[in-house]
Amino acid sequence: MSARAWLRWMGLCLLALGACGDDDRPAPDAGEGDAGGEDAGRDAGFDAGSDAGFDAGFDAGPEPTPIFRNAVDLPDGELATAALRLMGAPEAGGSESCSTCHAITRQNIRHFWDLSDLAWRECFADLEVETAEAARAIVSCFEESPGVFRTANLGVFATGADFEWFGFVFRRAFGAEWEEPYERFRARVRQPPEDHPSFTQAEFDLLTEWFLRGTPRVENVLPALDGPGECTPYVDASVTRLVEEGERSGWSARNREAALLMQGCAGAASPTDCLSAYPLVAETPLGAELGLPAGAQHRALFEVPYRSSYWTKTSADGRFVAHGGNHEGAGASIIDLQRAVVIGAQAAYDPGFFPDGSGFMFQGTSRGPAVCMQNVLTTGSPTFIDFREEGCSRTGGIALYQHVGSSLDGADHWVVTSLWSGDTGESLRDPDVFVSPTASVTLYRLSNTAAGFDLAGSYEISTPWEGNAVISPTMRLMVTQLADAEGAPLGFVLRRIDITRIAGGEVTNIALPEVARYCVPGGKAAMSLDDRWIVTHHRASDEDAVELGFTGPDDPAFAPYRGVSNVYLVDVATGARTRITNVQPGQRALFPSFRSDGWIYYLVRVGGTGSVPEYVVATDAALGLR
Amino acid sequence: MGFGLSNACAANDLHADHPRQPATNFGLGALALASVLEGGPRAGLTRGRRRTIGARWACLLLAFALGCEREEPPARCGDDVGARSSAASAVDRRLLGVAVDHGGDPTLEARWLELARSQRARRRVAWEVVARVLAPTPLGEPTVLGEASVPRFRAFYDREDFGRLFQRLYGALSPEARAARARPSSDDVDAAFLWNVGFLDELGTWPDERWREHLATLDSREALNAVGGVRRITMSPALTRHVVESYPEILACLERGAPPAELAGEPRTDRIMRRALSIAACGRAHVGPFELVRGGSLRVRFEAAAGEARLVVAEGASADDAVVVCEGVDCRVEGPAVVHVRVEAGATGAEGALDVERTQVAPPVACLRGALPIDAVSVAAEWRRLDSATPLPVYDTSARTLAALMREPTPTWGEGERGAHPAPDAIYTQRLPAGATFVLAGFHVRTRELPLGLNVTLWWSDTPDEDFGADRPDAIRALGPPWSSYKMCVVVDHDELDGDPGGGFGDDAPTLAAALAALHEGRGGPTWCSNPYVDAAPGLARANCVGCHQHAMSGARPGEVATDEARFPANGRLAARNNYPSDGFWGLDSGDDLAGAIRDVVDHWR
Repeated sequence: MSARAWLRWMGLCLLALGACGDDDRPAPDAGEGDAGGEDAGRDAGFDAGSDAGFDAGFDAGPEPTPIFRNAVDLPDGELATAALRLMGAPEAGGSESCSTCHAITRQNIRHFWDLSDLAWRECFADLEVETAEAARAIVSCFEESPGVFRTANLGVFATGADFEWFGFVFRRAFGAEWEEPYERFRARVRQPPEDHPSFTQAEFDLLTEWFLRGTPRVENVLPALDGPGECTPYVDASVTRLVEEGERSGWSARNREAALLMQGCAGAASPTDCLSAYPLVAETPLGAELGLPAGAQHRALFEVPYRSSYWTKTSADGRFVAHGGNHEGAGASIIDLQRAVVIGAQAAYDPGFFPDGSGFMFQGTSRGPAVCMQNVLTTGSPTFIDFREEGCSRTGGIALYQHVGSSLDGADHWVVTSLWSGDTGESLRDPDVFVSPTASVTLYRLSNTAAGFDLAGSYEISTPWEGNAVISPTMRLMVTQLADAEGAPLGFVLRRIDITRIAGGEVTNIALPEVARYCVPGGKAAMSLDDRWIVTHHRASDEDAVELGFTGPDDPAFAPYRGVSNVYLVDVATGARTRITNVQPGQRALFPSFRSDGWIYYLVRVGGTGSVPEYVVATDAALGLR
Repeated sequence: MGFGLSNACAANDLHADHPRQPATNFGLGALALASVLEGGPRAGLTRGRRRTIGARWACLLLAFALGCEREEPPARCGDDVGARSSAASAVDRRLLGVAVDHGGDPTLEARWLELARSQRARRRVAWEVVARVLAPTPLGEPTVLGEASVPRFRAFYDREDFGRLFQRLYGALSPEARAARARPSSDDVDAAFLWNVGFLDELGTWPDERWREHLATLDSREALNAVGGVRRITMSPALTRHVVESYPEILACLERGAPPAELAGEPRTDRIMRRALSIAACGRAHVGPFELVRGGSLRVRFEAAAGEARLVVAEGASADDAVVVCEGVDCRVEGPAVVHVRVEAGATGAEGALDVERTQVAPPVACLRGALPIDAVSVAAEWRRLDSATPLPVYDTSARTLAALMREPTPTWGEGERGAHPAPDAIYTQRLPAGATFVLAGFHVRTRELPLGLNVTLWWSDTPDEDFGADRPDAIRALGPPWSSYKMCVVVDHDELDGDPGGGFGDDAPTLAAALAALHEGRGGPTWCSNPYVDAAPGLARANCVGCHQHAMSGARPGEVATDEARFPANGRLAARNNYPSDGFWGLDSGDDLAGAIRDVVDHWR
């Protein structure tokens, strides 16, 4: 890429600055046109060097500013191949690395470039960091809310989070108190995440060089993709049987047999009588209009005094609600509704509760991915956990955005990972789902050893064009999101999980035959504990105007509803889709998940990005739809 | 002797002793509940199901009188020690029925010094306990294998049972009673045990067809062995009852913290027995004797639920020489005394519950409602998953290996000498529906007839007849495989009072004598008993059960006890407290965290 082309891109992006959010900004075409020639490396080497390489020699006082990056003098073609190899693209001879979690496609590279470009201009404009104020501005740029760091804010530069420059910035910003925020930053932002090999400085230089040049020659390495074609909805007849089986023997039934204590159900004659002590949303600032359908209860369970981060999940018993974000610097939070307290969790995001109420998982702890017994949250009425408590253990090697389930006979816990796209909940449209024809899911078996659960193997299965995989709590079904080559989500794919075992229960094969497609929009799914429902959130687009009660997308009254996020249920047996919230302009209903008795918890944000409080709301809408 | 009979029963006097106790732990409430349930809360059941369950309960209730129990208990009242060590889901509980108490032996306490002084006597008693733990107990319904049975210990209560029971009982209290932390009545506890068996049917999700399908899956011994699951801690009914009734003290301990290591003695009343009795017409049930020290007292009550009965309490060195000191339904005897209890049924027989409380000056059991009853048994099972990639470690407990192990500063069992894949006839094996296989590598059995408990532990071995299996009695061999594959050790005190390093086995079990000698630290030194599978933590290879168990609910953790030499000398084997906060029961704050389960339920109702 020439310097001129680079400047043109920068200009385009600057013009679009108002829409430069990570999900919504129209991306410049990085893969076509005069995006580079063999002389681009020299140009880029000059550009990058002038921006960054000389930082190494700058004397900023008592502590010199370390090198941020070094220019790399490679021709564009070689650079593209080398960078994509680093990212794990098989077409470039790579494997794993970034490709473990992210589709390495032209489209996703473009998406990463969007993020990186924005980061370069906003967070890394001053690499000299001469003052504490400048350092604090950089740290602030890394945050999505005070104290909560966001990887996307750094783009590909997050792959250097381990390097000296970042530590220097935190030292300059916080003085002697720098280590704690830096470690939090590192734990949350570092890419590849903990338990994956870090990049070296030379690799970081090479990768960032390619992105700073605008990812030239990407099309020479990565093929154009046609996508999976149209999404045609259908439900195989076998699904009815699966749903019946789920109702009678799924985790909801199993937990009833175990008399699992359901939050707010003391003295309740039926599940719909639960949570009656919590106010209906009509009695709160959220307003009566929020809840649907008629007759369904929507109750405000907790006012969250901080900005949450990524997915919110509830425990099977509904007592605990967990997500990233915390108001006291813990990184993540687990709300104990019984005690009405926030338990700070030294973790980053992506909680997951096992459906038998036995434990939970978190990503980004000081030990990497970790699993704890659920009684860690009750023993001694804790207000903070660091995942080193008795009852916690690490489960290294499980990638982000994982989802958990458990076999009904107690033999194994399971975790699924796949290609994924982050969803902060802030975007005005459903997140892109960057997948590829070589997309796959990985199922991890955590074997019950009777003393705990040990990682006993993983199984990678091809799921072309599918990502954001979620296993049903029973481990009988899996739901993925289908997307086209551009990353546009097309719908959900339901797959049956067929596990072949030999004597002793060892798994020899896993097959994932597809049994249904639901061609509806939305974000990552969650399933009910009886396998009956898919629940997800969806941001309103023009296609939703009529369903939301307007005459059409041109109805002036619809305008403020464009981009609002509602919660939807999909009946697995029929494909019928039901909206169960009716958010008003400025509200977003997000991150729904089921508890064992069929109540759904979801998060409501009100106001602009970062506004607090947020609200944990519960609804029995699914119970009424049976 | 002063035991009298009514005229109507005189004809039966010579052959009228039919104690048939103790079949179950439930009592009067159960009797009342059974009549209600047939047409009451179970009205939603299908006819066939109702009949089946009704028949099961009827059998349990009439076990005493009609002989549904498999066998008569031994003449002495120390009977079935039971324990199980896995999850009894509601499905399993329906099949297992009401758990059967073991019938602790009240005479054993008087033999404490004998057992402390004689390894041989100690081991003999322990093997007897083990035989009763493993005795086959029929399931409530036949399976495709026919009239199937499980070892007695598999029918005891686990955390899931406990959760259901305590929720039921605590939820039934009025708000005022909950606020006052009132205890559930004994009758309510009895009823809850029965309710737990039928809980599954309340859900409406197990029609007859599904139930039959489930029974059809129990088509092999290994599948049958999975009834009960894979959990760690299980409790006899008496222990379960005691923990339930102790919830106020348990909560207080959680809130106030552990009591200090030394507490002054004070008058303490312990319910040492609540036993259901069913006595045939003109029959008699003998219980005891109970030893009382000076200043102590014993209160004995019989609550008749059906028929007529008379309580006769006598004092004397033997039953034959005893002098009647009280007759009626509620008797009190002051110590010192050796107390013999007899219940005499009238012409129509009698059913009811015998309740025995002892008051004496002793340090309080701060986290329980007094000491555990003599029927209390806890089992901590060590299940290991077995597959082609994960063999079961094998441990050598010969004299030579133990001697070397004891020379280490922190003796630890480690990973074993080798790996093995024992077949199901060589180790107790359960197979879960998806094929996962678990084997019972070892298990602790702790009964409470003795002041510090009878602490027995067993572990699997591929040389089962050597060292700690060399004195295995015929009663165990008669149970068949795999029970002859387990070795055993036992402890009743912190200090070893047997002066013979070989424990008296030098002539008839030399490998056992040698192994014991390798562990003997002189008369008065600390005792030894350690399970290679259960006591895997560092330092615990030189443990003795009682040293660790004394700290239950004290705030100390098992791992600390064996390794913190400054606080807990001799690998924690010595007496470090004069009071045991939970009478040595780790299930409250370790293992299954029953204290946490109680707290969760109480919090739930706030």
